[in-house]
Parts: sequence; structure tokens; C-alpha cells
Amino acid sequence: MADVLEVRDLTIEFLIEERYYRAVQGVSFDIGEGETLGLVGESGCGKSVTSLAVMRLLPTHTKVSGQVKFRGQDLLKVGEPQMRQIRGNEISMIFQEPMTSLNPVHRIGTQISESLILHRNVSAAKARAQSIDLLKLVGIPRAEQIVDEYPHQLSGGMRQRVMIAMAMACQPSVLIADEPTTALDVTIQAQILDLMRHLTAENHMSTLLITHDLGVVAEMCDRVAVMYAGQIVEQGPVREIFRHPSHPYTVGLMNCIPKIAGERKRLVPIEGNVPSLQNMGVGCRFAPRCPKAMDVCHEEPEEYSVGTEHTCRCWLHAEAGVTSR
Amino acid sequence: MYAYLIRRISGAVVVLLGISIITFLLVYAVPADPARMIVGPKAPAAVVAAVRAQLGLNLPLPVQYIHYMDRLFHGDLGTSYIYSLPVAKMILQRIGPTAWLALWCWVAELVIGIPLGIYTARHARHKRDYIVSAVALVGISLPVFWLGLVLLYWFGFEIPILPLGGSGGIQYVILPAITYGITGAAYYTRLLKSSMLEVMGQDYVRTARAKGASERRVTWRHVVRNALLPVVTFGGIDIGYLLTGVVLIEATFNWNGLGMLAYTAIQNDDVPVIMGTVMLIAVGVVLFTLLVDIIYAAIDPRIRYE
Repeated sequence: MADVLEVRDLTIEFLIEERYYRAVQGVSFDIGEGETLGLVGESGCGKSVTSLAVMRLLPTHTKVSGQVKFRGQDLLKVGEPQMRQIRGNEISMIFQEPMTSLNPVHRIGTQISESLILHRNVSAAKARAQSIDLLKLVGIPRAEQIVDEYPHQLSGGMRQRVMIAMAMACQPSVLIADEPTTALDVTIQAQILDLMRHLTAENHMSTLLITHDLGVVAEMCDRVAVMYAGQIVEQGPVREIFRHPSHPYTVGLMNCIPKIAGERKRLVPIEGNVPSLQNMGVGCRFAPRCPKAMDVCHEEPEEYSVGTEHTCRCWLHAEAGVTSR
Repeated sequence: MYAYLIRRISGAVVVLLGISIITFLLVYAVPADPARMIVGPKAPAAVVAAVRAQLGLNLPLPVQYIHYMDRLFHGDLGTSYIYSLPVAKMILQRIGPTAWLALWCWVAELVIGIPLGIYTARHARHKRDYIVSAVALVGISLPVFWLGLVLLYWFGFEIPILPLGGSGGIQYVILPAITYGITGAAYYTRLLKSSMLEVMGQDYVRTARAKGASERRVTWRHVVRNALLPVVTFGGIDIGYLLTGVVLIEATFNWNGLGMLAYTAIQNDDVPVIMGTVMLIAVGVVLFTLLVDIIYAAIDPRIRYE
């Protein structure tokens, strides 16, 4: 499977009060053709920032280093006009907030047409016709009418379908979905996930799915990367990680999910909070909250192989040896 | 849409009624006795009393108000104490010159203010923003009469390419409009800038960028249209105010408009003229506020379907 997107050593620093702080450090992952990678972690761990860095949509004054290779081309090195050719065309994005992610003053059809007009050089009339087709594709009833309506006339679920239609407009090879269902009701969530799975499979799209919901990961992803405080702490195939979570943080996350089958147990929360950017300690970032912390955790662990394509950034697994990356 | 319009229009009618009551009571708020003003200080008391009766000033207040409104609806705004001319005629003569001047003053404000607002918003917190904002601040701080006189001196006297004041065609308008534009533009600049900065942080702007839209396209299609709402509000109130007479500008450039009329009427205690101009100003402001509401609905679909 050829990798469509390869992210290597991505490091992102934000300028806060005249100093740079690392929000993301040394993040590496690959997404193959037609593959779905889940990026999981708590709020503020750097998942969204990572996805925005791939799209090069971070604010100016942000230092981004490393490599983001899309079909072999490093996106961090291409010029802005070339990047605009890629955005919404080769790589498109769905955001978390369907209520605010659509422009309130433009009609639905106009907003979907925009990508087509920008990248496909089609006439407004043709773009409108294609917009109707796209609305039908994402399961919107009365597409001929909805195309002329405004975002505030639609429900949250419908708006997220419109966002998906916009993202699908130019048949991109990579779809980045940043918490696409977080703001929606559970029943609508299932419908939207179903739609996304169906569309990505049909179009052989590679997907980066950002979520904090392990249920969504189990449902949707081939592989998963767990992020904590700006680093990927564990990465591997979904089954492998659900069966043998290796990093104490991943284990902690699993313990936070209520189980329907089996005996009822108290949920075990992870003690403490995510460290803020300004007081990130040295060594393993999870150590202050880790039930298994050892003396060696004051030093930075590397990524160790713990199984087939399964890596973990934890001293507990150091004996397995450093991965070849 | 119709329900929205009907609601706005009925609101405007109520406001106008309230204003008519206040202007009507103005006669009693001013110390000058209308009858005495008309017949002069030396007339005998019997004459004053006769004029009072003739004017209906002895009738109960509500009856007087009804008479006043009746005359108002027939276009009768009373007669000037000083000039013995119908107020309506005096006002009508001056509406044209004032509207002509006001329109150009307003256009000058927009032409200077809006591009600068977009420019400073796009370069916010950079050197270019600071320089332009500082210049705009200087503009806002200049007194109209001072800037007007300086411009008159340079372009009317030293380099005599424009008339030294007075009312008339386009050549008479240039200097007052530039003066007003320079002193008023900064309000639009700041309003649009802060509104644009707010819109630029919205999720839908990020969506537009994620679609591959250029910065120019993002600014014009996605930011400016959303950012215009507060500017439209201010612009409507501003032109409503301008059309009813820019007193300082008219006085500085000796422009024979409504502003000058109101200014001299206040100096002379010419109550009917004051009442007439106040009524006109009120109607102007209310009408333009109504117009703003309608433009609002055109810009923001959420209001239309409210």
C-alpha cells in the first residue's frame, strides 16, 4: 500500500508573549491509499493543530518544522499559490463545528460551488448542478431546494452533511476530519460516520480522523495514533491497540470507557490534568500522571516497537528496542 | 420578510408620533411668547391678546396638538417670526443644497474610510496598520472648522483653483466634502477594522481557506460582507444626520443649507423654524434607520427569515 500522506517529525511552535512554545513535537505518521488513521487524544493535546499544519492553515507566527509529504511532495516547502491548488482539491477538511463552519450570508449551493469553481474551472450553472448532485450524494433530501437555502435554515446534522459535500466536491485523495461528529446528537453521529465510511471506501480516499472518542475509532479506523501533550505516545493497528494497549496513557483512556457487557465497575479516571504548554516538564510528558512512573521517566523515552507495526513511547517497553524510524 | 418590514415600519410610525409631541411642546419650553415675538416688543397688550387668540394659544393643549398635527399633514409648518415666511417653504428651498452637500460628504467618508478599514484589518498589528491608524486618528482629531479654513486658504486663496466658500455646483462641494471625509472617515475605518478582525476569527473563514480560496477571495467574499453590518448601521444613521444639515460645515463654508437655517433660527428664537427643522431632522433619522433595517435584511439572510 503506497503511502499518500507521510508526516515526519512534525514540530509546531506557537508564539505566546514573545516566546515560542512547542504544541506538537516530533509527530510522525503515514496514511496509505484508502486507509483511515485515527488520531486520538484529550482536548489540547495537539490533534487539531497537527491537522491544520498538514493543511498549512495555522496562523502566521507559528513555527512548523519536519516534513508533510503528500504523494512524495513536501507540503511545508511548496509556495502558497501551489498550496491553494492542493487545499480543497487534493486534501480537504471537515471541521468540528457544523453550526459555525458555514458562511451565514451565502447560499448552500454557492458554498459548495466555490471549491468546484476554484479547482475545476466550471461555470456557475454547472457548479450548481454538481452541487445538487453532491447534496444528494450526502443524503440530503429536497436537494434542489436546499441548494438555494442558507445555513441557518438547516439542522446541525444537515450542515455537517453539507460540509462533507463541500469536502467531497473535488474528489480529494485525502480527507481530514477534525472531530466531525462531536457537536452532533448520538443518532446523527452514527449516520454521519456511516456516510463518511461509505464515501471514503467508495472513492478510495485516505482519511485522517481526529477524535477523542475511542468508540468512533473502533468503528471507523484501520490504524490509530494516540497523542498526549503534543507527542504520539502509541501507534498501531486498531485491533492490536484495543487488545494490547501498551502505553499507560492508552490503558487509562480505555479504562475511561464504560463497558456494556460484563460486570459493572467504577470507571477509572486518569488523575491530574494535561500539562500546559508553558510548564511542560522534561522527560516523559505523561510521567507526572502515570501510575507506573519510574526514575528513568525523567528522561525522554523514544518510540519502541511492541508488536507488528505497533510502537509505544514508554520506558516500560524499552527492552523491545528502538524502532527503525 | 413582510412581517419584518411591517414591524419595522410600525415602530417608525410610533417614534414619529412621539417626536411630533415633543416638538409641539417645544413652543412651551422656549421662554419667548409667540404672540409677543410676532407683534414686537412695543405692541400694546390688547394686540398681543388678540394675536394669541388668533393663533389658538388659549385653547387646551390636546386641542392645540390636534390642530398642529392637522396643519402638519397639510404641509403647514407655521410661519417664521422673523421673516414672516412659511417655514415649509424656507425648509424646502434648503433641502436641495443640503442633500447635495451631505451626499458628497458621506461619499467622501466612505471612499476614504472603507478602503482604509479593509487595509488596516488585513495588516492588523503590523507596521502598516499602525501608520494608517495613526493618520486616521489625526484626521478624527482635526476640528472641522480649522481643517476647512486651512483648505479654503490653500485651495481658494493661495492656489485659487476652487471657490472661497458659498453654495453651488461640484466645484463648491469639493472642499467641504474632503474636509468632512477626512474628519469622519476614521469612524468607518475603525468600525470596519474591528468588525473584520472579529469575522476573520470565525470558523467559516477557516473553511473558505480550507477550500483553497486565496486571501483576496477570502477577504472580499467571506469577510467583508459579514463585517459590513455594523458599518451599514452607522452609515445609515450618519447620512440621516448629514442630510438634515451639517451645521459646522455649512457655517465654515458659508453654505446656505438647513444647518445654517437651524443655526440662525436658534440664535433668533424663531420657534416655528426650530420646530420645523427639528421635525425634519427626526423624520430624516427615522427614515434612514428604517432604510438601514431594510438593507440589513438584504445583507444578512438570517434577519429576512426571522
